[in-house]
Amino acid sequence: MAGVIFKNVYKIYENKTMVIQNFDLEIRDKEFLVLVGPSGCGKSTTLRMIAGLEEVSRGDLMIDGLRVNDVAPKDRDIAMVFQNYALYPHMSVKENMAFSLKLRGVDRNEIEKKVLEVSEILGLKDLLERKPKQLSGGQRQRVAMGRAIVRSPKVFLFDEPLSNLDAKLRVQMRVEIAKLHKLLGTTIVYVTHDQVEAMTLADRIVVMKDGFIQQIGTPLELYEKPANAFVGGFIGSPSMNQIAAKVGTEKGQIVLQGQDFLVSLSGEKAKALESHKGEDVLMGIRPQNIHPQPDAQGKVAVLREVEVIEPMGTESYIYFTMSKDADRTWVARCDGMPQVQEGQKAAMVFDIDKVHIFSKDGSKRLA
Amino acid sequence: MLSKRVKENFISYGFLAPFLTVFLVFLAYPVIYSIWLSLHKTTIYTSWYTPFDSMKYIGMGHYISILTDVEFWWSICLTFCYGFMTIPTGIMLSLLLAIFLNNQIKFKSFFRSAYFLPNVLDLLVIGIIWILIFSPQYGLLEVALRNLGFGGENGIVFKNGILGNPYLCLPAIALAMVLKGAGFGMILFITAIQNIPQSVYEAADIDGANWWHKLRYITIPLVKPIILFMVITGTIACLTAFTEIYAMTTNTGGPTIQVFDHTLKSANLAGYHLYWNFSEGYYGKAAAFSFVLLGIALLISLINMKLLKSDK
Repeated sequence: MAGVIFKNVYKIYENKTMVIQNFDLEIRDKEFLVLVGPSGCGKSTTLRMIAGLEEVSRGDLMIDGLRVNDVAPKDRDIAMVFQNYALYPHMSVKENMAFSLKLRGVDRNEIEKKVLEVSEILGLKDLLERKPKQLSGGQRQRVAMGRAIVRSPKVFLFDEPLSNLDAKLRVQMRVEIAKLHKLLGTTIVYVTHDQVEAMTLADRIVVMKDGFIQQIGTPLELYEKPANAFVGGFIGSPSMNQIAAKVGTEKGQIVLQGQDFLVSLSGEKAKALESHKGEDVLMGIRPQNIHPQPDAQGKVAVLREVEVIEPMGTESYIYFTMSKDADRTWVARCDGMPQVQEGQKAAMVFDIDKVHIFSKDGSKRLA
Repeated sequence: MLSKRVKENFISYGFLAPFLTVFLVFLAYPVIYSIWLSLHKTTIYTSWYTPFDSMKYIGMGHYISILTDVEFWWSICLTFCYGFMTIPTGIMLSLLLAIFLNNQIKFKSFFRSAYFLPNVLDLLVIGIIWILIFSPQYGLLEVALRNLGFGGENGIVFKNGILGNPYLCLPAIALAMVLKGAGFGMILFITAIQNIPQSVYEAADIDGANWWHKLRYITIPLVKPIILFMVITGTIACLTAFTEIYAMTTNTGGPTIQVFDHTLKSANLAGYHLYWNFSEGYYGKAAAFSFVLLGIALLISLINMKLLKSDK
């Protein structure tokens, strides 16, 4: 087992496109680290640099304390599970799993033993003689994992391994990956664009955008204290509602004044915004911190018309327009069925102490 | 009043009619007629103006005569030698060119077109070009080798030219045909290689494969359908090889060679031997010969398919 360290790493392509910039990260031994971000943010490139499939343009990449910038993929002692599985189509499950050991000159009996052992862990024992095309998506995924596990590498790399599976199977495989990490206790670097996968699997998450790290932290840290508006919007589902506002005072209290709303703040939030009076800011609030009610009952609320209600069974999403200058429709979440109806004017009650305040450009968390 | 089904059938056959007409006239009829022909023999009463009339039924006579004919077995033997010279070499050369030209190299498109170009030339033209290359005294190869100092005492490398040498004639034709066909195989292999996902090679990199492992365990097994296709079409091309022999031996079947007590032609491949029988007026025997060749081609194709059975 081993840790991975990026020291001021850059990835610049021949056409001068900079996809990774000033990348500093320490992945701890036995950690499950998830790289998450939108398409094109550089997360897969980062993973491929660890694998040795992409060259590091500048900086140092260390695996288990050794600089591996110029080390070939086969000599890095890593294993990778690809998005499209990348199984050898002409080889059976057994041959796929045994291939790396065979190339390393491992004794035939030892290979047999290892393959059997891993196939038992992954429930592939009855499929060993089958070819990849005779397997379902989930089974192929397991074979790809088996091929990685069989070598007992220092680091496992997963490149969006669940994105080709249907929603139900994805949940199932997610649980299996989590179990596997517990069982093997290996360092895993996992790339996904699905924040639910990131939140449920990771010990720590690295949120990336445009080749830069936006925030590193545990899933809860990222959720509760997003470092900027992008992380706030990216982590959490449905994503955080955001709107431009101005910090002001009214009757001695710190308030957030929007184009057609006003909310007053108290406690730590108000204290943190004392020094930002008169500044334009970005206010964010998660859907579960907005409670649509027939009337406000004296709480901080804005009166808005309910446009659409999406009942999901255990919860419902209530859509409404917060402000004419909000860039999208806002959403509130409530348990079960809401007390309001579509077309009805409802009091959107805010958990004001759960509001997130970012700088105007969204680059910095203020409170 | 026609029923709906009959009407539909009538329309269907109407659409099929143009193809069926061509098929019946140019394929079915000649095949059936050649079967009839293979069981008959020209006689002294046969008119050369109507050679297919007044032939005599001889049953399996031609087939027995072919199978006991030294020239037939010699031609089959030569065809097999020719096949062993052209098919594996052609496949290997095509694969190597495909691998080479699948890389990011400069002038890739030019090289691909250049290697494919001989395929658009007629075999007779190619034959003539190679005659010029191989010819004695002033042939390109003779002059080049002589300038490199390979000539004997009198400065001559190949006394009667390469095509005049009974031991070199067939290999020389094989070389010409391999170079001619390599471009076509190259295109097939490039297509097949490009269909292999890059991630499979990346997985192999991580698994510890070097370039040879990747070629041996990934590329070759995954282009096996193309190899099978090339082996089968190559086998058929060898069994029916005629034009290249006709062109490069100027319709002689190559210089003669003494094999045991028989004087035989050194490039008398089965296809050419069939043509020779036909041109000499042995229509029945030539027809029977074509069916024997068909049987051999089917047998070899069956063996090839069994040996190179693809899982794809």
